[in-house]
Amino acid sequence: MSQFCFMASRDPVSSTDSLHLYRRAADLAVAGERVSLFLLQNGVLATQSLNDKALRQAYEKGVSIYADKFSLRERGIFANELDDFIEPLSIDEWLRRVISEDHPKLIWH
Amino acid sequence: MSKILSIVSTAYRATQEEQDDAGLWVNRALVNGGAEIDLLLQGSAVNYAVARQDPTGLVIGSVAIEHPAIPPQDLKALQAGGMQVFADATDIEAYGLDPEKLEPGVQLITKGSIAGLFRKYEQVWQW
Amino acid sequence: MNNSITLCIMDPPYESANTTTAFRLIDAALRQHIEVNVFAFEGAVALTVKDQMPHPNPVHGTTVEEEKHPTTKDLVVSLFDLAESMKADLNWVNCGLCVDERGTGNFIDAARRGGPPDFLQMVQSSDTTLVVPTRRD
Repeated sequence: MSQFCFMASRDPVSSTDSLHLYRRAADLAVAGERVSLFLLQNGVLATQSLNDKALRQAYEKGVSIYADKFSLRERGIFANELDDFIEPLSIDEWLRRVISEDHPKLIWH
Repeated sequence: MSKILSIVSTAYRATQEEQDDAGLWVNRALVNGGAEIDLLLQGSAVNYAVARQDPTGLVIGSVAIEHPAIPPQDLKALQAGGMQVFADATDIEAYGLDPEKLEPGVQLITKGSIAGLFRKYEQVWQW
Repeated sequence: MNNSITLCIMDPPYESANTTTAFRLIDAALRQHIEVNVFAFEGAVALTVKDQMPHPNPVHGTTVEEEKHPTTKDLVVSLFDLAESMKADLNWVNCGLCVDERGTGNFIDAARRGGPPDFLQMVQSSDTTLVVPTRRD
């Protein structure tokens, strides 16, 4: 089993392929891989947009969803406003989680 | 050496003044150095597979861009070096491209199959 | 436990949040005593140019001293200082062809000139590699 760590930096409204990214993450999880999505930069805007349904679907299929605390704060999104399936992490916390695995695949979007 | 899938999604970014697509160029350099890499074209970069393109002839002031990037030729060279080149069939359709007019050897793969492709590689790099 | 990471970055200074994130990642990795290799490609070769200078901000009405605007080369130097204090390795290679065509050869002493073979070597010696693309679409 591999670990796929997607780093979703693009805002999901102006970047239409963000939805494809979430679906791809979900497909990998369904196939048995360990998959996470780290929303950062404008990617955290997905936590409030109409597209957060797609994020929830990815979560329900087994994708861990994280959001960068700094990017959230920078954009006025507070942790208590997040849906419960989104875990806010600092970049240090995120790095600690992914780097503890063997050869994680880090994929920027 | 690990097997790598490189994804190029943005097309024609500074290909005139660079006289190359940076993503295609660096992957070719890495393959020349012994890396095992296959390529996936997505987004506007699927247009790189269109066989007949003519980017030549640009002159700025008195300076001519004499060797602009010709992406289908670059793809051909990459394939000759052993690289498999895939293109996102969903994006090909979205851009209204005729599969008959694409560079031979480019393998079309649907968006739904890309997750499966990812699983075959040890690293996935987005350029 | 992973002990090394390679990053390939491409964005020029002051143009993209990607650069800030890359710096944050490098900082976090060094603080966790993870060896970091950076291959600066394309516009990213300008991140370490010695000739960068801070400026005042007439819109804010601030002087250079008041504005306190760190240049990207200051940030990279600071990352090298952090590496030393954490006893972690930071290796920074600027792609030489990219340096030449951009005229950014006067870069900080801690960085060195190289090319794709250096990136390949970094990849082969690292536990994982992250490519941060510059994208405009």
